[in-house]
Amino acid sequence: MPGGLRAVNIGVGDFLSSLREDRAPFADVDWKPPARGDSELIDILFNLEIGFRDMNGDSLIDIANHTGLRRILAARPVVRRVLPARELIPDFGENVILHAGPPIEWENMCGPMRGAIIGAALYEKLAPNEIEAARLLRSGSIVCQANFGRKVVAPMAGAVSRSMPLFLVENETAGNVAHSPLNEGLGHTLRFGANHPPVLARLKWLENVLAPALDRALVGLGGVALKPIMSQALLMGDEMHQRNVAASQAFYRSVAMELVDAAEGSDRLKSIVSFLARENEQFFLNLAMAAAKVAMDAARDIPHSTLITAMNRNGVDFGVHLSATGDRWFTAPSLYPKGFYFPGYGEADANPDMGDSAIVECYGVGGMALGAVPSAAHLVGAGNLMDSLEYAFDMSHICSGRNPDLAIPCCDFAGAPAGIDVRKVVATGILPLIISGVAHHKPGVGQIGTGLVTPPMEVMNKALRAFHQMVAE
Amino acid sequence: MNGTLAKVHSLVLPGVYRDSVFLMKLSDRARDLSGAGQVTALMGTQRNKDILGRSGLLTRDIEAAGPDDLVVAIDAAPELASIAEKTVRDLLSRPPRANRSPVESLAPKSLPMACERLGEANLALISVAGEYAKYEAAQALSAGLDVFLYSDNISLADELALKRLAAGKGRIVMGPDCGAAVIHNTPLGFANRMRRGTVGIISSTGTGLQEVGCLLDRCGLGVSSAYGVGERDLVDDIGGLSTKAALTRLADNPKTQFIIVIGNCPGAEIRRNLAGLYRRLGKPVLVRYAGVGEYDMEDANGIPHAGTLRDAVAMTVERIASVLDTSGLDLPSPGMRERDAAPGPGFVRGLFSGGALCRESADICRALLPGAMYANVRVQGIGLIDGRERIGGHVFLDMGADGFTMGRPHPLLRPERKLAGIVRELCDPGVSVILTDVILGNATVPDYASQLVRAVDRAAAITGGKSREKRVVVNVCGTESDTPSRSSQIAVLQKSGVSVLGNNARAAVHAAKLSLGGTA
Repeated sequence: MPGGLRAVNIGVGDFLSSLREDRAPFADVDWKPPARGDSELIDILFNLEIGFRDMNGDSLIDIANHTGLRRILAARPVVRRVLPARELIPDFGENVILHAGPPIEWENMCGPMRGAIIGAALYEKLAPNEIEAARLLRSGSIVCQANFGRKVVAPMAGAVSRSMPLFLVENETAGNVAHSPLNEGLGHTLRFGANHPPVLARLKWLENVLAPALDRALVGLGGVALKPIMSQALLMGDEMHQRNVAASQAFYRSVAMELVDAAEGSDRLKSIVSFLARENEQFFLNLAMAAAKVAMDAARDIPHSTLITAMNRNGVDFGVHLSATGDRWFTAPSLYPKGFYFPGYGEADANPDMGDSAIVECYGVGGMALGAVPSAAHLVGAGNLMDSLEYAFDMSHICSGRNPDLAIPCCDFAGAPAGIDVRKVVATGILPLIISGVAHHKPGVGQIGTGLVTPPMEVMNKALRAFHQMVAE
Repeated sequence: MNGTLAKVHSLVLPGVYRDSVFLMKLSDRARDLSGAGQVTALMGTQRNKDILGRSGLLTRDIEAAGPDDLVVAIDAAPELASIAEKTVRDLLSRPPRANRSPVESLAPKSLPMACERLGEANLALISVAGEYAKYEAAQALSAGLDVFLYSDNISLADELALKRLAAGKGRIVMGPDCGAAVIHNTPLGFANRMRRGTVGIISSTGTGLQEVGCLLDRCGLGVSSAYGVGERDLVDDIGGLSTKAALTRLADNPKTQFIIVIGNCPGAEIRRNLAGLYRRLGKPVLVRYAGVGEYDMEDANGIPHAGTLRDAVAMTVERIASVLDTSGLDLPSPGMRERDAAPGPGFVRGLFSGGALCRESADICRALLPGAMYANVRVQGIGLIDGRERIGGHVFLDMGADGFTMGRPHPLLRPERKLAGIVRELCDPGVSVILTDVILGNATVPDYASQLVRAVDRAAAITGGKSREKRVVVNVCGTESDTPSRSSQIAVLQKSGVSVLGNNARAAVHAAKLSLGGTA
């Protein structure tokens, strides 16, 4: 040991006396039993730590996770186009409607997701009215499929149908792509399960006015790089899940000049400017999600990697993917967000956590970067600024590294934690934090609050057990 | 100086954003650290390109960069430029040391985070319950740390797995159930403040390491490093993996000139294996194995061996510093007044804080005393008990053994149970001698001697003074550099009529003789 002792202490604090006397640097761990004391999981963690090593004694799991982390950090998401879903997604059947989260049958869907699916069916004119749409969905004439298999991420209910416009986001580094719909804005929206005529009218406006103009603008620009916007927005107080004020502005600024020509007429331009620059502070959320998705997809399917490559929820179940286990879903019932409710609403009105949006947390922003958002500390129920910094510190315990391109000013410009490692989640018992909107459990009521939520612990335990079983065989 | 393009080296990082203040700071630091004439890092906006152009720092690469790209212009000679480029990349990717951030005040909640916080950690001290400790130890080894594993109740299979992982990574597991070590002259666990010196120690037990280290200190010799390796390291199933790792380290340590190995019941195979290893090590090795009758394998390899911990030290002094006086090893010895105050015949009851001292005492007394004898540690010819039942005869208990410490702190941390045991034995009419230890060292209870004296007084109060007829025989394991010092603790004990002997072996002999009703 050249250079003297540098010790980490786990346990009896008295043993540190001699290190103090000798001025040997040490760190004392604020220790809790690993895996919340579950001996079966501790044995799994122990086995994973002991075994699976290369000839140099290095952990194959650590190496795989490092590879994954490198790919996540190297990702350069660029938004290139806005095109109808049917043009971007191969074999998008006429009777198919996509939804958020792990696959779920119509009968098992929660209220807001049913409302959104019906809305999409009406939007595509698959049924003349709500009752008929529900009948076709029940009978299986209209088929519901998860966004996930189509490389789509969409917030809340996440209903996506053929004619809806989607972003095409490309990872310039690895060449992979992902899609997300255009954010509808605030108020009554399809993503919260509303499907009455004004909601569908706004979707039509997105399809007919905003999407083509934005596409022309993006084509003219050769695409807009998303990571620089995200870096900048973090410094300006966005975490990019619950708050996208700065990022939406920055994106608008990137395309504003090109939109002037692309909008084809001053009325259209006015409505676009009003929507992007004034009304929709969350516009960037869907871009952040697609950006996170291409980065996380780059880290998929790495043998031995315990990185979490996707987290999403369908309003009933929470689903997780690990890199090494590929497309295998691990699910457990979704939890209810805790936080702040709009006047007149409370926890009893809430729907369980929902949406593909937790992909941003996989990437290291949103709840994982809570320290970046002093203004959100109260809004999200974090209590105070110090609490939110502590949350940010907690998150760094469950990640493989940090993203130096996503600096968090409140944490002395430490990069946002990146690459959630399911081993660390289970070992520390610290769950990834997700900042989420809260939907009313009835379709169409919309957002009733904002809060913090975590995956259920069980989903992490399941994923770890399955990973262990896979590598042990 | 003249800012021609030929001299300017440039770097373009596509899609990397940093704010301008950060980049100005980074530019200055990179310039200062690398020695380059000028380093300028900016986002590649048109305005910034104009600025670079006016300073003669605009290169073709920078010219082609976009506003989302981070560009760096370096004005320096080629060799400095490449250093500057590396510096810029390091500064961009290095996590800042959060020195004054509020986050710094938060304690790390996991071993990997503690390592990140500390930077270049090289040792993990682990003392949580065994069922959890094994995972923490595995994490520490995986991260490239040595492990001081104080925790006990770890299965043989898990111990083997940990030690194999350590061997694969060139690390060492000190333990499990490791009470003491001295690394870089810092005492770990319960280890004492020992003189720095040339003797390396490898010990299966913490108290064995402490006794030998303290006796060396008393003779004026010092320790280079001392490794505890765990009670079971020398069973054939473990194969002495930690002992071998420690031997390698001591062999490589230029300060080490002589090595003492204190082992516990070594398996036949590992013993043969080690004897050969000692012979080939290139440094003299002396062994002292508990539970070994004949040292035939060691003799065959020319390895010297000692019968007691005390003799191991005496033989070491004789070999490497024969001019030193070893008479201190046996001091103090009981004065005349004490000799006269011999108790009547009765049982010896030994209560110890460590396995090595318990085992050695039982072994010595077995040779001197007739009658039934029991211990909660495995000693040949002595009945094995779990230690919690009352039993007639001579009894030797290691109060730090697994059975006593499951879910409870070690007697060196919390001596109440051991002291209660001493009171109980003093109240037992069949008992004539209490044999016990006072172990000083890191993290041990302060002024334990006074607590022992109070326990003796408590027994006297309970028995109406009758317990004063019994003798309490003590070995004080410690050095003058310990706090409190050995001599100050001896003074406390002697003032209260406790018999203090110079070492553990002498104390055991003294106790045996007293219990036979004779004067020692």
